[in-house]
Amino acid sequence: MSPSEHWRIERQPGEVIDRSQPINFTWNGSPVTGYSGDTIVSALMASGVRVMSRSFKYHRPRGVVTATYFDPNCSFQVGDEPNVRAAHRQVREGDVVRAQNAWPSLSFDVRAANQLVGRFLGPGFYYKTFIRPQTLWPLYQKVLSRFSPGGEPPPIGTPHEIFDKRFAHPDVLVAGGGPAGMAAALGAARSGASVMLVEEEYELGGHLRYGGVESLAALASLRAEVASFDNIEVLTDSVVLGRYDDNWVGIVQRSGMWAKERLIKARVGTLVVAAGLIERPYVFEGNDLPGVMLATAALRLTGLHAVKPGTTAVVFTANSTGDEAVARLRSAGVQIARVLDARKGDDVVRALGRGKVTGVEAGDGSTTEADLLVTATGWTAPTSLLNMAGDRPIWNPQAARFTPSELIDIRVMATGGIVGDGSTAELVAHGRAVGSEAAARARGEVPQSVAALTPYPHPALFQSTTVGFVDFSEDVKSKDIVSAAREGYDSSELAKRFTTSGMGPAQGKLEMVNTMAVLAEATDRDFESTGTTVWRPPYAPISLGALAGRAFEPERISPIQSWHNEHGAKNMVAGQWIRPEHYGNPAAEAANVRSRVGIIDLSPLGKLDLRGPDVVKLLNLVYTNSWDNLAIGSVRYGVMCAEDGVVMDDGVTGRLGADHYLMTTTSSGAGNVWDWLEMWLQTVHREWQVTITPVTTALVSINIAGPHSRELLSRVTDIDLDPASFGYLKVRTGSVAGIDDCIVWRIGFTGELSFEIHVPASYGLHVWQALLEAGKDLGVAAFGVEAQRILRLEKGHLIVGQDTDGLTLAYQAGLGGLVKLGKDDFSGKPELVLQEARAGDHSHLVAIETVDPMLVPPEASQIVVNGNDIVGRVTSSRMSPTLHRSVCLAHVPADLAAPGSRLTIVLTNGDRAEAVVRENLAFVDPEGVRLRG
Amino acid sequence: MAESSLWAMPIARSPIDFDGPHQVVDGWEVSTRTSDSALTIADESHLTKVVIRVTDGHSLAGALPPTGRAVRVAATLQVGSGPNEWYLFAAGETPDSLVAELEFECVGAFASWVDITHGRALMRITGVDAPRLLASHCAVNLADSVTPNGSAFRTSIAGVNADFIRDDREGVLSYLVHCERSSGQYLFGVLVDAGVEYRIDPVGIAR
Repeated sequence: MSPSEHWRIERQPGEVIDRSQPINFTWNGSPVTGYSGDTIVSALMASGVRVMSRSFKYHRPRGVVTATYFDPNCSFQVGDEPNVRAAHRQVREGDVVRAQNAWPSLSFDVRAANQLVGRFLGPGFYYKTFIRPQTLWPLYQKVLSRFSPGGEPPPIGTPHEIFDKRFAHPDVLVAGGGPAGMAAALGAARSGASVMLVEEEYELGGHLRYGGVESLAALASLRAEVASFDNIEVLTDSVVLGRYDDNWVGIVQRSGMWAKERLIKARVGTLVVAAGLIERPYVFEGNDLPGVMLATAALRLTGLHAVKPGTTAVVFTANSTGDEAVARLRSAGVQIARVLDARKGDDVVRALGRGKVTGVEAGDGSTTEADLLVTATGWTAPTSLLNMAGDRPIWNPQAARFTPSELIDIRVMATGGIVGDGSTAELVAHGRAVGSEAAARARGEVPQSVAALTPYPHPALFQSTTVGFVDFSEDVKSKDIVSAAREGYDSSELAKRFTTSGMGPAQGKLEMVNTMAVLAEATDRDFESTGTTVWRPPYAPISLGALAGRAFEPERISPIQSWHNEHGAKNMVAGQWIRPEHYGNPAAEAANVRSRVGIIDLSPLGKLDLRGPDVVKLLNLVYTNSWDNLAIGSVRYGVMCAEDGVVMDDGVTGRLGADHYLMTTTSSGAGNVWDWLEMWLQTVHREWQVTITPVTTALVSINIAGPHSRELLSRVTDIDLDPASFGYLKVRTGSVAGIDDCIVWRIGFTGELSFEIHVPASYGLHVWQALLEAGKDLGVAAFGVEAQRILRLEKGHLIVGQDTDGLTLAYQAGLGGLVKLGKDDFSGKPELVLQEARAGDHSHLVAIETVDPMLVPPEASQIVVNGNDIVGRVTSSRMSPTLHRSVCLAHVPADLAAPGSRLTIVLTNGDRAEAVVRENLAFVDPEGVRLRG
Repeated sequence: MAESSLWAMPIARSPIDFDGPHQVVDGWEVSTRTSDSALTIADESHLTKVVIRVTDGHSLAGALPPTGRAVRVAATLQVGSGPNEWYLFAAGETPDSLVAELEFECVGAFASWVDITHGRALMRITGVDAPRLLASHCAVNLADSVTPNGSAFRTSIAGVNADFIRDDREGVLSYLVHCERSSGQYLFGVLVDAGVEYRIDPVGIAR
């Protein structure tokens, strides 16, 4: 199908299509050409397509009704995206567009047979039919799901698009970019307020866009004025979703180069609701036939897209918009077969035809041949945002629509059609006044009233004498509302839920008033006593993707990470840190440390700079051991316990000066330990003179380990490394690879002679490369986290969090030697005192050897007795490249902790393995000769 | 210790890296990339950075700006970053020189300063669209009435705790974003990504 000159009319003054840019797409497999600026639906209409969908329940053919986002009959599948509002979505080159809810085709849908049994599918059908027996509910669910409407979601694994969010704090937010909305934005902006102007369509203008020459002139003037204000941010193709407490307003921005959808969370000074009016369908027999549409739809199609919606039309009008449609259609070349004027008592009782309109039966019994029936029978005020602000709009019988009551929240105002009617000049004047007042209220000034717009009188037209559809989306007819009322569902909320009228995609915007009107008549009540349903957020649909937003997962990297990546590192994620797990062969890396020398990037190691005369008090409080006599130039290992005695962290702290210490923590515990120390200082001991500065990332930490480590370090430092002057557990400062103020201490997590150096982070890569260069002849090589784990396990050094858990008390972790109960006080002391008294009761961390030396039981393997009674677990296990056998640590009960005790380990395949408890935690160098060398 | 050409000229490297020309200036490898874009993001991690912390009652609290405010004293930007905590930022200064004029001795209270030059990333976002860019991730109201020039606050942005300092340049909106070093590249990427909409362009230092 190509742009048909038959349906595409001559250039219109307000048209939004670019005729120089054809857009090719497919509709149900057939090629279609539209123009840039066309919606999918306008392009289809221009190509002669009239049936857009099949209805939800009865699968009746349906066509364009509103030609807006909320058109109930124009939800399409576009590529992988279901439920696209095709009367709003602009067509894009290459779009693959398909009808939904029709099988095998849109033109022949076998499920249209539902119409034959329609009398059995009335309101409550599901509730009544599928309630018993309860055991069949799963089956019912499966069957009913096959009949659910809607498109097909993308296959699992389809790459998703980007969804975004942002925050905003406008002084004034105007919801609706019609003439009153634009004027409100201008009124506020002129007062100096920051303004956000949100418009659902792709352009500002509201009904002026498809109006006559005067409307277009006014629109151009307003747009130019809006554009001249830097303090007005215009968001088009965007909708205000909801208003929450304290003017917290959600907005969805639908199109943009940055993301598919963006959720804006705005804290608004004053919210101005300028949502305009929504034209209301009329209820009569055949009102859902393709070819029956609203006057605004006809004006949109002709004025914006230069599309002729039919050949011969009957127009049923009750207002000036209908009159305008008559004139517009006539000028578009549509033959106006008849105008039925409700103001003169005319009525439409039936649209004739099968699958499309072929004629119209009027209230006087006459029929007129036509392929287009345009109705202009009234308006619904979309008061959702006002409702959400606590307002309860009032039914205005003279205007036949709801209007706001006195707004409760002074920071919510309204203007435009939602308030009343007027000429363009009157709407603009009201908008400007409201905008100016909104700005004043945002500044906190005393509220002043703004003269209200008065709604024009309008005939109350809801339904004819025949039965028609009230809700096109849900296939709810007027007789269904009546039936619900007869069954006792006579309140608006109950009737809505029983019939599902207003529960479709338009969420009552088209259906609510007509539903209430039918219900009022059925229950012989007026509108006031019938009441309405409550509008709740969101005003318009928002995708789950937009609500979820983007997942930001911070990634922390060492200054040496680029080197790791360039040298084959297989990285692992440790918390937020990216760390080299190994460089290809962790066992070889470990062996190199034992035989020669290796270096490892320990930058994630937590580091806290502690200063002040009371640091020792703090250390004594948080560590279980004593810190009274730590000399300048020395370091000490310490364990921290929580108040319940559970091991929470460990590390080494060095004394760099009289009142200056550097504390290291586990990598994952750095933040918690900082919080822990600050908690004591800020809540318990505010009198202590201690300052803490986290320096984890200020210092790159490199461990040089292995028998050649002293030789290697000596080549790049001016620090005297002689063991006599720089012994085990000592710290020195000096130059390393030309970098001053480096901190070097002797500790040995790997069990080897080793030096841990801490250098200013910006020079980390420099020092790392210098070490590798200087130690080439010594066989220096980088080793990763896995090699370090092997080495420390060979040495029997525990890892907090690996060999302990959230219940492991200090004595259970084999750390009893570090618990100094003689100290006045420290965190966890009371519990540890009790624990010591029950030394025989608790479990112990022990080293174990499997009887089969080549068997490495998986970590967390259970240790059992008496068959299947779980009494312990393996906490760490590896194959030792040094000993060529497996090495493990395990938690076992006290009666199995003695050296030589035999254990039974359950493997993942259910097999049992035997193991023996060792004398010492260390498998390698238990005497510490290497470490202290 | 043997001398080596490897460490004869140590090079300090920023946590942030992006395409474009680089050169070594004052021992720092810095970008010299330029741009005509109205919105730029510059890496200023090479600035000397010092954090000062005091215990309650220290006289320095009266000499430095209050929490939430930043002031320029000669070439140094002093930032009241939190209760009893300040940052000092300056180009071309040593950490000692930054604090030389401050009186740390105080009876009954304690104060310390720590050089965090190498431990933090520092970015500068400049341009009229800077607030909108930051609003992509930052929930704080960046209007003049709430956060005028000289404002400072700490908040979470894209999962990273960061300090924001409004430090306008020649009348143009400009914000310093300060975070710990290891997250610098990540946060830089997040901000550049958010700034695509406003045609943000990374730039190097102006020398």
